[in-house]
Amino acid sequence: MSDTKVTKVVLQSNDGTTIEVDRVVAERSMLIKNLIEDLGDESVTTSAIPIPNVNDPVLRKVVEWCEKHRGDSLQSAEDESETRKKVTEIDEWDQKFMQVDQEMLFEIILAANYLDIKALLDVGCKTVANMIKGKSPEEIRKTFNITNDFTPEEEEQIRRENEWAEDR
Amino acid sequence: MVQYITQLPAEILHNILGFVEPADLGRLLQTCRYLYGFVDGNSALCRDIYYRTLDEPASNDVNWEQELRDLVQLQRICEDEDGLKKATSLPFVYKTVTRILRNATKSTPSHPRVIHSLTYPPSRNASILSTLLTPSASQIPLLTSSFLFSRARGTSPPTLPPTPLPHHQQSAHLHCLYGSPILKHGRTRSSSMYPFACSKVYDLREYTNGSMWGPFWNDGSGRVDWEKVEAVMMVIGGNIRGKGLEGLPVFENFWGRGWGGSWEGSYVPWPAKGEKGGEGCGEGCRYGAEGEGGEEVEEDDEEVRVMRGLKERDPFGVSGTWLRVVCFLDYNDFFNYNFPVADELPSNVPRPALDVGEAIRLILMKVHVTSIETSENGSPIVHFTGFSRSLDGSWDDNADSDLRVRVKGTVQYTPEGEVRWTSYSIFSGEERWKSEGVQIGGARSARGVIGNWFDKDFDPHGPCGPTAFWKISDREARADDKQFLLHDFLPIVDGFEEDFDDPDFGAWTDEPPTLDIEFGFGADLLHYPYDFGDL
Repeated sequence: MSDTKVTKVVLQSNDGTTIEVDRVVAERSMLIKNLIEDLGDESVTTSAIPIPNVNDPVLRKVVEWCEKHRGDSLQSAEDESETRKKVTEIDEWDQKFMQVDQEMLFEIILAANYLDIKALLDVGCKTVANMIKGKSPEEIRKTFNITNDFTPEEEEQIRRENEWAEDR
Repeated sequence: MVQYITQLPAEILHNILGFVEPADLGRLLQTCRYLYGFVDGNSALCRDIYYRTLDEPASNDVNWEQELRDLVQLQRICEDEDGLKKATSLPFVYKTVTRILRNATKSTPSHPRVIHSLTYPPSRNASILSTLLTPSASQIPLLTSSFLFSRARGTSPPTLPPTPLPHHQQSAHLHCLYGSPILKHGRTRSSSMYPFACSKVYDLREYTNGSMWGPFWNDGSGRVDWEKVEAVMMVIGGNIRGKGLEGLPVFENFWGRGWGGSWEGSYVPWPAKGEKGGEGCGEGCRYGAEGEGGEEVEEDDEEVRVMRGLKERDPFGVSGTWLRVVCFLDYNDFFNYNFPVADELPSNVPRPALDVGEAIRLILMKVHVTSIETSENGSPIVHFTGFSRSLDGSWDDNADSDLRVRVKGTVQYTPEGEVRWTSYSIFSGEERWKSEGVQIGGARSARGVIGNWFDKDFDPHGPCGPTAFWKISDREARADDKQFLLHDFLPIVDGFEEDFDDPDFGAWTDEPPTLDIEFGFGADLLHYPYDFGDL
């Protein structure tokens, strides 16, 4: 069926804009893949697939990622648990791709989660994790615009409890 | 719109934090109340990070948070030279390292042996320890703080403590688990540890009734004396290196690699059960692995069934083929060292450093379980029997029966839960040599057993010496099995071909070893007065 010819599907963001993509690209999203299976080929060729949780700029970003990774083999559940164990490396293209402002980064992560695109979700999460790694509490606050809402006494106590994590 | 990390759904935040390093957790929860609440006591998150960082432990009964904290603290200590010098570091490092090893990957049937000579599975725990604790770095004090080392460095009084001191024992135990003997106490040529190790191993005064002449405390408690084990490991390691054997995979994997297989359950069977094992098992492969080949069916008689049943119940994985190393002194050297004219050495002063050269024998030992009894305290005592054959000298299938020796022995737990091996060599129906050893890392560890050999009647004039053995395959002796076959060697010789292609492997380029495996022994050893060709 899908291997006979590349069919196109249309995705509709919550702003109402539409994007036409190759079906294989859209099917990087397990949500869309299952949706197409449930609705049947016909209905998706005649009408747009609504993606109500994702706005236009984010959806375009997600589609860009899916285009780039269209040929990647989908991970099986077992592979996945294996790769997740591995180090938190991100390939170069993905690193560049993720060089966006924090808000967009979080939105991509949320979209990947909603659309069930495991690999993109992992890349996003790893990117955020890398922004945390090796940083002091103050540096983390600065990076993520977090307000220190501890009282000085609390802060001191928590610092003492966590001396194990301090660089000496 | 989500603008702040703290606004992300908990599930996503969990996903993100699952990718940080253990040390980051302790800093994250200092940032704000929300992240404190999210991270503090979040054992599911700690478990995820643990699984990403370390081996999956055999049991889920783990305090994930504590494990991560301890790992971070271990990293901090190992990165910090001053921290390493603190006397307080050693007990913590000891406790943490032994626990990390205990939780290292056990071998599983789903991961059969890939390389014949590599008998333990890859382990992140072991590789983390390798990066944290290597003797080339400043961690040297942790692994070299036994009495032997401080004596060699001249940093402790020259008298032995009345009973082993905890920090000496812990350091020696770590060194044993590290497994690749550190044979220098400093950077100069003159800092060789080997003569000091020999002075301990060949000092007959160390062999007492209380210690059962083995590597145990002298007080009859049966506790392992890790400083004795350490000294044996260093003497044998020195000989292996001295004979140029350390480049052979079957030695290098254990004697040249940090933390190589020194944890419980690390031994990977070969060929694995039910696997189409024994590749290259062609003609001459008379005794295939269990579960394969037609012969098994033919021989599936009562004896085989009984043996299989015993093997399955044996917690120590005794049955199989073991490679054994025995070293010994010329008896005149041994005697002169232990019984010098006018010996006025106080009993708590070690004998002088000894460097007269030893002989070394490599032996293949094929054994199988004969019975399993239960001791008074309910723990198993496994009895085994089999035979051994020296690898020295000629090797042809005319099977010079004089070169084969019967062996028998027992394996049981010490009161502390270490694994104790006792074995006898039997000549013409009479027991002659006895050995006592300890399995490094615990039951079924691939690192194998290290201990002492001595006269079975505890002759007060000796001789005695060091021995070690480790399992190379699961091929075991049968009642009618009179021969060692080509196949028994495969775990030893494998890797030769690969290693020839390896430009870094230079040891054998001039003279490729053959199946005769002479290992460079001279004829003098073959005519040694001890008659050791038969051990």
